[in-house]
Amino acid sequence: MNISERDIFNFVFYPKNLSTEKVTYLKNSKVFDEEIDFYRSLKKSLEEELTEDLKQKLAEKIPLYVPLKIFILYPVKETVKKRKNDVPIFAADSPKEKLAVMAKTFIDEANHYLIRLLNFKDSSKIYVFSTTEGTLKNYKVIVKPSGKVFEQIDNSSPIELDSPIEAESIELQFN
Amino acid sequence: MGKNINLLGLFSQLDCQSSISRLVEITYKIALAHLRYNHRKFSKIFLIEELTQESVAVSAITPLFCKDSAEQGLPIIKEFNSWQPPIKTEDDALYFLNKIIAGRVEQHISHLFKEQDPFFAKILDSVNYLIKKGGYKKVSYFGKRYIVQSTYDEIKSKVIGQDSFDKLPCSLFQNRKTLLAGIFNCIENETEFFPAIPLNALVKMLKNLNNSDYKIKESVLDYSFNFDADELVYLGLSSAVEKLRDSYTTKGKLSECESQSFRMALKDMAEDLKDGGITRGLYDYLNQHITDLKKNEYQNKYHNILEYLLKVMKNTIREKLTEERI
Repeated sequence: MNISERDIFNFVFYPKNLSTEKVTYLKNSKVFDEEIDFYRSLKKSLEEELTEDLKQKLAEKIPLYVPLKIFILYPVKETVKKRKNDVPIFAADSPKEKLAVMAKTFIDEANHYLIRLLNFKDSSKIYVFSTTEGTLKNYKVIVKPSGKVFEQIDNSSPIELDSPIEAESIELQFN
Repeated sequence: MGKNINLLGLFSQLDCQSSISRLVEITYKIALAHLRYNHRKFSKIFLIEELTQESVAVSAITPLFCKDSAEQGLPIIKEFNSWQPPIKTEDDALYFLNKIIAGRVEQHISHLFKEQDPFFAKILDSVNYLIKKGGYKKVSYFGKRYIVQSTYDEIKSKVIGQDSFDKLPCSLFQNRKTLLAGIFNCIENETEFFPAIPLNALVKMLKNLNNSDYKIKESVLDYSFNFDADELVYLGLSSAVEKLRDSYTTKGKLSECESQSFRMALKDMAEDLKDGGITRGLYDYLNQHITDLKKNEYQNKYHNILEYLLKVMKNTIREKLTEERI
């Protein structure tokens, strides 16, 4: 059977592009194992993050390359304080403000950035804060797992969405 | 495909800093993967200057992102726009990037081989001449260059590996006039591999045969593979030793004792050049002849001198090879 490099590439990256006959052949034959392994290792390496040292080396050689600063923020486990029984509870009177259905706080490992996600019934807001800097400028917020990307010039106002959004983690990217 | 990579999106927004930085990173990862796959057995080339695979990958991709003063755009964008068939989908884009980087890495490695080993460069030129003369062509397959008959545009089945190639009968390489046709005939009729000859493996084979007692039959009228490696290396070594004496010893920059160590190191390098190229880092050559030489002392005091003298030796060999060709 004729098998080209593109066939092996497709087998690893885009198997749907390949005929069933070729997929079956490549799955069962050992002939191209080494070539398949190459593309599998390439696929894996594309998903890995470069080290800071390597980014520095790239920046030294390629003036156009400016390493991206990426921070991954994960949800903080929040504990709700119990109210003391002797404190009177008054009914809230704020009909104009939408009630938050869900609020979630995200923070990075070094506690430099904090993101607050408020999900309402049919909208949501994402607030980005820095614990060390004043105003944040020119950054991207990438919500995972959906991968939705939001670009902001600064953090003076929240990102506002027309629907609630699920977030397991949030990536913050600066140029 | 890697998580969240949108190559078509990146190529359409290369005026944006984050897009170009992202593309550089992807390009680097592909280059490193090719280096690891194709050159794990040729670690020798990484020893000079103590190169790492990572640093070679960075150097290999750099020209794709450097504007020539006369050029309008980046070479990688020009390649993207002129690629045939035109790139329309994500899979086209990733395949294009993979192929273009594989070619770039191979070109860079070939350059390093030629720099390191003047004999390799000489034989490669001769083989390229035969390819052109015989109407063959070169195609890239998994980052390696292969010689194929002009009727093929791509390789469509398993190619011969290094081990099987090394086992082909020596007689196939004996006659320069029938060299390529003979190897094609053998691969096609006596093996199950696709009729494609690995270019670098062929050059290495010819070089090894030339260095051994087994000489290739020569035709006076045509390009030659043959040269007297002993004599050429001797001439290269002589010019380096002469430079050592005139520029360093007589001017008092190196003591007589240090000069003697340099001469010994250069002699070892010359022997290795004859046998296939430099096999160790330069520090190791000098360290053999200077007791207790510390690496930082070598870097500060001797590295530039030894590197320069090696360059003199190689340049002389290269010049003599060119003279022989003429």
